[in-house]
Amino acid sequence: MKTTRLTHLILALAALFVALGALLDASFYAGAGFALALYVVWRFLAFRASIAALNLDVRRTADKAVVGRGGTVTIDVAVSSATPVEGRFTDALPRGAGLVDGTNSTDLALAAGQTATWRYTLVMASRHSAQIERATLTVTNGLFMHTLELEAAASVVQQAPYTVSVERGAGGPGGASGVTSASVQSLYRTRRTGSGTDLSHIRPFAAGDPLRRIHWKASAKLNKLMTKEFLIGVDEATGGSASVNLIIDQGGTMARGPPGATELDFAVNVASHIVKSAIARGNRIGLVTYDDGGVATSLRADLSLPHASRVVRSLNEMEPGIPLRAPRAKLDVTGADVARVKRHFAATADDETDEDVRHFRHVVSYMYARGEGYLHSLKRAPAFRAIAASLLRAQGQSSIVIVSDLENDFSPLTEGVRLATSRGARVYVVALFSKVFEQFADPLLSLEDVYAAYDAHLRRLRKLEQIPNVKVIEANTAQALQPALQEARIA
Amino acid sequence: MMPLCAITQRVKAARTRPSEALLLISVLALIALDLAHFTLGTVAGAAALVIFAVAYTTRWHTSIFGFYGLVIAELSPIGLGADLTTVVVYQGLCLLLLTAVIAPFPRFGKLRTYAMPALMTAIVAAASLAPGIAAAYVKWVTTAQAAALSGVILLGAAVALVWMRRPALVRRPAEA
Repeated sequence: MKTTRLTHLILALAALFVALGALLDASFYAGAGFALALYVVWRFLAFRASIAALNLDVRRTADKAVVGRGGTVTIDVAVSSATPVEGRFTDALPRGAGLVDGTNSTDLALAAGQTATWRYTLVMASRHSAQIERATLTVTNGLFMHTLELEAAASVVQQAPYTVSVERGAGGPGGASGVTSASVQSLYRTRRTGSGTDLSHIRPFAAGDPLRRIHWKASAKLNKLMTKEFLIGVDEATGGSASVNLIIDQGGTMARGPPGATELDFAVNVASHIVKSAIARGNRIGLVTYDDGGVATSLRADLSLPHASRVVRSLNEMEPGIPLRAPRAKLDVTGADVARVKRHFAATADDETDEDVRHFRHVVSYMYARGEGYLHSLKRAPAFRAIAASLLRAQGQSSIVIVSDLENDFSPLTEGVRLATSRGARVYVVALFSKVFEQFADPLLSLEDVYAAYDAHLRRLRKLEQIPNVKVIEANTAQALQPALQEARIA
Repeated sequence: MMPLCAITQRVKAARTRPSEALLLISVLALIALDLAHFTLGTVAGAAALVIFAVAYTTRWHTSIFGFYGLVIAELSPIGLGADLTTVVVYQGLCLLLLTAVIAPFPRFGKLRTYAMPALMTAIVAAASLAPGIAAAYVKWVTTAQAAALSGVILLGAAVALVWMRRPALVRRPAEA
């Protein structure tokens, strides 16, 4: 319990009056000192009594129990009391949580039986339980102040964990995946059960067929045993299910944005959505990630549960790569390269050819050297290598989903996309506009800069859209992304 | 379009809060007591109280400024020749004034909660008054000095309570 400045002043005044009363033999001042001291004692005892009579009933409702990095949770608080209470009620926020809307601290002035309700929204910097474990109530009577620690009961979790929707964000320490191993396993079980009951066709009974798969009605009609075949069986037998290959840019530039809402968080969020959809549809799912140094993760497209778990784990562990100190050297052709190619082409000595042939040979050599250098550079580019890795392992009908801000290796990325489409793959590019994330982190960012950057971003998008079988999805919010993904039939 | 009645609607008078009502009552009563003991000094004291009340309600509406009002009231020259009844009534009114200026103002709904503390305060007061009365009874000290002695004892108790700062015996509120 703490005292206020006013308490000290009153006690000092009381002491002064008592001294005056004794010295001047004035009962008025002695009585004044006595009365003031008595008043302080009474307020103190009354304050203790009012604290002891407190009986708060605090109820909270969170729309999720566990929230991932960058995810938001809305908490409704209702406080009621059987006795009148006045004070400041504050919910202690979980570690790494930031307030984005509403307030976690409010001045209560409740009459007996009255209830105060309010709502606030938190954003999580890391994957964390949304449970509010502690709250404080600071009560004061003007002379004394006391802060009560209110601890939450253990059974405050409202929902089972991992019910986080992708749109609202979730994820592990390095990412914002809305998908977890538990949820994937659940989806996987659901999918296999569901598909297993979808009848594909019936066929004559063969030795070894389980009896529960006999179609008794058809067998009676045809007078011979018939066996039911389910869709999943067909898929497994033919290996005809489609594969979705995710390619995620995790370069240094993807770290832009405020903590918990970076470009990479968004990318992983999108990826987790696609993983869920792919599993639910029975598609094989593959994952390739690349940063500035090269391909960071490469998981071939597969259908099994352990593989899906590996994909999920990789998504949850993704972190933005360390940006290169200096940009990679741009493609350049040196005189030595040209001379080397020229020597290769040379059939006759220069002095025996005329000027035009010499010039033509020089141009061709330069172009060849440039092309050779370009190919060499292309094969080393992480974006191209990531797409190539996906293509090498693709089986059957394949879709490639690239999530990137298109700022790293755009040219190799375009070449990779061309290569993929030429091999029959359908390519979806989910393009993130990085300035939006920069603006989140720096609200003072000039609007003109954003417009200029958006023009450049649009030019890149147009370039990709010109490639056949490429669908560019320009999305910086989950709300905008969802219809685009559905239209593209990958979600 | 905004309806005309919204513009021409008369502004309702602000409701008087309990603390302001108590302040008004206590200040008027103190002024009445001052004027009942009419001297130049008490008139000056009453005028000072009026100035304080106006300044407090219109501009400096803080507890610390309210404390200055208490000091003004306590320093009234009425104390130089007041009888015991006047002293008790005047101090009672001063404490009401103090209650009015301290924020937050106690809620009337808590009055029942304050019954036990009031009883305990009365016991403490009696315990501190007893030595003073005894000393005055055996004529060791004058009446004023006896009151001062009781005041010293009570003040010691108050300071001890304040400085101990024990955590309050609370029933920990349950959360659901």
